[in-house]
Amino acid sequence: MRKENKKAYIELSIFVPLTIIILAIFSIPLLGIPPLGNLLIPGNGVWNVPGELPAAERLNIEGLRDEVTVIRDEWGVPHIYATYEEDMFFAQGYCQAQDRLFQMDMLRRQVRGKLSEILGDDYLSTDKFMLATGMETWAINTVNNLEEMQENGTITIVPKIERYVDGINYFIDTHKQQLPLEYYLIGFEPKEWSTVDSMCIVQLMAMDLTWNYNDLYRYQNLALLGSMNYTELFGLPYPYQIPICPDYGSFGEIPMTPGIQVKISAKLESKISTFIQNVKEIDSQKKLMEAQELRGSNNWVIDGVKSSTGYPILCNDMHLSWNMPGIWYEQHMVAENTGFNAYGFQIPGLPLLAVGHNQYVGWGFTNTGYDVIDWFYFDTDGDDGYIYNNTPQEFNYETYKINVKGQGIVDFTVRHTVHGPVMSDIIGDFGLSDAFGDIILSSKWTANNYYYTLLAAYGFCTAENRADFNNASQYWTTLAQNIVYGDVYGNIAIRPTGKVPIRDDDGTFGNGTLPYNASKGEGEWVGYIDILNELPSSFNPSQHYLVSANQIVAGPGYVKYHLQSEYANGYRARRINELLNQSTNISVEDMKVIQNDVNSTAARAFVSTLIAVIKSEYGTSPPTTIANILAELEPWSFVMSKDLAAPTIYRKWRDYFMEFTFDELEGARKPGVAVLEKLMKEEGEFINNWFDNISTPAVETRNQTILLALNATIDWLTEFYDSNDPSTWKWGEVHKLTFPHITGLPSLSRGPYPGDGEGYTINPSGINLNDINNIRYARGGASERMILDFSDLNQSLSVIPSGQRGLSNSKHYSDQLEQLFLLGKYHFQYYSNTPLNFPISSFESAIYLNPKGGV
Amino acid sequence: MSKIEEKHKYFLYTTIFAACLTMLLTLIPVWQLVIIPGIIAGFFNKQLRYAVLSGLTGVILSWLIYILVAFITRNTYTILDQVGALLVGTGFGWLILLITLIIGILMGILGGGIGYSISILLKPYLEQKIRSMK
Repeated sequence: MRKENKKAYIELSIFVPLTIIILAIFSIPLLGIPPLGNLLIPGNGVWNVPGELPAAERLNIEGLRDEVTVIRDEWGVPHIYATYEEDMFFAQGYCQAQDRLFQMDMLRRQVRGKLSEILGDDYLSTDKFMLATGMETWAINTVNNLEEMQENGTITIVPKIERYVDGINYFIDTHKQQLPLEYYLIGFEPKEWSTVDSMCIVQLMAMDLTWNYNDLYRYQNLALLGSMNYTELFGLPYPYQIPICPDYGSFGEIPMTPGIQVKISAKLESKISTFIQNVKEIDSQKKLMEAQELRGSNNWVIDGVKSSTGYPILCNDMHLSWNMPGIWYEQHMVAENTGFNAYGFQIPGLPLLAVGHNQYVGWGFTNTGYDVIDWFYFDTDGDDGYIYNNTPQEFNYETYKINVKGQGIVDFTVRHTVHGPVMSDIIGDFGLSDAFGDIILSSKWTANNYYYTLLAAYGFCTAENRADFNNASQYWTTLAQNIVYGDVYGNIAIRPTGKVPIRDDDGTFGNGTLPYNASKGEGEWVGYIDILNELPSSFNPSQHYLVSANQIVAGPGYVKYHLQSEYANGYRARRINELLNQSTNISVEDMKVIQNDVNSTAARAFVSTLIAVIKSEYGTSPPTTIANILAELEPWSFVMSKDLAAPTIYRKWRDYFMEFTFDELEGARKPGVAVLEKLMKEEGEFINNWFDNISTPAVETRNQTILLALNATIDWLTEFYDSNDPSTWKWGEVHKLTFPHITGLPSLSRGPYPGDGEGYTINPSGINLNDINNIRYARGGASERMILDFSDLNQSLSVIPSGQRGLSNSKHYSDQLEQLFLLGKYHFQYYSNTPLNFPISSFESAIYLNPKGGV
Repeated sequence: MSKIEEKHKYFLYTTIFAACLTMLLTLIPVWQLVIIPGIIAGFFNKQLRYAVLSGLTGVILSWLIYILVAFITRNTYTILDQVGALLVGTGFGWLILLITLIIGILMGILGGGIGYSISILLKPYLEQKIRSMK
């Protein structure tokens, strides 16, 4: 062998193994991170994440009927101008995918049980749970139903939805190598979008807003307290409610009388906590429960008598979890052939608009709190059956297949009763074990039915007057909402709208507030309340304004049906009513101030009593710390400012006051703060002395409990702030706002930012101070803000707490959050503009979608 | 032409070729192919050190241009910073960029070395082939 060859062999024997080792190292996933080669090498991964949109882009697309122009304004909001509606929907789908594809993908995957396909078996329980709820099944059923209706000529919307889906798929097909960063980090690719995917997102919102375990929590409380005490704390209505619809009277002195005569089932009681514990271990449900603490919304409308413009002004801010990107996508959609011209917000993955306005009418949402889910328990009858209404029945079974990353296909089966899926099977991870003992727990939920939400949305977007809007409202079934309304003719209205079951229960069994014994046939749903004719509503009221902030829907004059089991404590509603009631000549500028108001009605309700009790206890010479606390509290105007200490003292004291007062309920769910307010103000009116500490022989009074709570507050705050000077206990140190990325990845998240407000201010943000070492910052609040000026809709304003684009390298990823939302600012909607007169200063980019082969 | 000039000429041509090929390969989502430009560059160089340098320079030159364009047009440094924060900690985008460039350097060097060694081993056969063709 030549010397040269020998050397070459030696070199090869070094170079080749080294190359293989390096290629291998960068080709295999390590520590949950996808292969670094796929992620980092130019031409791959991060280098393919798209940047900002080009200033002008022309696309030739098959199937378009005419040219479509999409103008992006300075905030990246797309304004879609089409000749035909079908083309407009295509462009809507395209734009949503362009900006929010990963978010849309994750939303559909949650409902369709496909998270473990990309994230592994950590998410298998979540997938099983979500499939078991029947959401995907009813999305599929509804799509089939809509297609049948389209075929028989009942509706015409299906082709429009399909064009929207085409728009998404066109984007996916043409951008397979240019995906958002998250796809490369997790290591998967988007699959084709379908109409079912979109319908699944409606179901997900239904779960977010209406699925809950409140009946089970109440059952625990009833077992713990007995009927009389339970009714004192949890009986309805809650105190100090100002009903949404003012036409049904107001709540004066309505005695809380015990009416529930439920016999507690020891078997069920013992199993509920096990069930709830298992539910909390499911990722999606844990997040849902946390999100439900933040859930709420505000909307209000004033008519021309109240407004400075002589026309209605409508405001809406829906309170949901904050995420990056935010849950709402803003868009303006115009189609010449039908006069469709609507601007508003929609959840990415859904066509049309959820809230917004057209050239005639505008509308906004808050959650109604209608009770649309019941929990039924059954005695089992052997392995395959159960007792329903004293009669043996056999389970129905439905088998699902889940593709789990690294495991392949996993089968699992859901048992069904006459009322719905056997959700207690989560205890055995749907292995159909008898972990729940000889009873089972099954849910019945209005979302397990056909739903026509998109028909309603289309009707809202194209309504020309109140009659059109009413007609559309009857299709708004599965996501019960208080729909506030205003129009250019000067009308204002509100209709708490949704599909509400009528139960065969005169109140004896709790009217849907507690689990029903289905083996005895309790709590049958015998129909649904007629949305237009039987649910409360209000149109042009004499007070000239309407307010909904998740409070009770109607006053005592509405007696026909039981509507709600859960609604807000009412502090936001009290404040909005106060501000609107005492004002006239209200302008859009005033509405901005009201939407950002952080004056706490709850603080006002509590703090005067606290000050009075301190003074009564300590007279004119209190100890130094108490005197310093008084120096913070006395001049305070109840504004929850991040720069003040008084909000911190009030909030922590209120927490302790609640904890010490309801020590009977340790570990169980406590009543609302408004109930504590009532107890505090009307101590002698209650049968039970709730202020007594049951673990001490002495009988504590209200004032003693207030002072005990104050002492505990001083200790806690002194430790947390490492200072006994109350002036250093600034609210902004504990009250921070966080905007986590939807995957939780910290580098894609925003915040925490010190912020004003609390859970009960109009501008809400709730924190949890239970654990001194782990304060839970605010993760939810206004998810959008919108102010509609019907004197000139071009002056209408909006803002979202993130940005329009979900791409983390885009300037529109968090621009609205940082430059507008946190500062209480808004942007114009440019509603009246067209491609020909769009303001140059606000124009950012344009896409021209042309029909392939010409028009 | 002197031998040194000839070596330089080969080096220049192979480097340009490797850079162009590396750029073309950014269009193909199989990153492992980035070893090929170095191999080809190494194959046509007469000395190991030129082969290695040609592979390295070709790959890195191409990547630097690509990276510069990506930073300007797609704000990719923000992405690198976010990935850095995820893998290492806040403010480590530069480290991710460095790791990327190191991979490029290694691929260029190793490719060049492999190409050169292959050329040495194939040299007698190729020379024989050429002679027989004459």
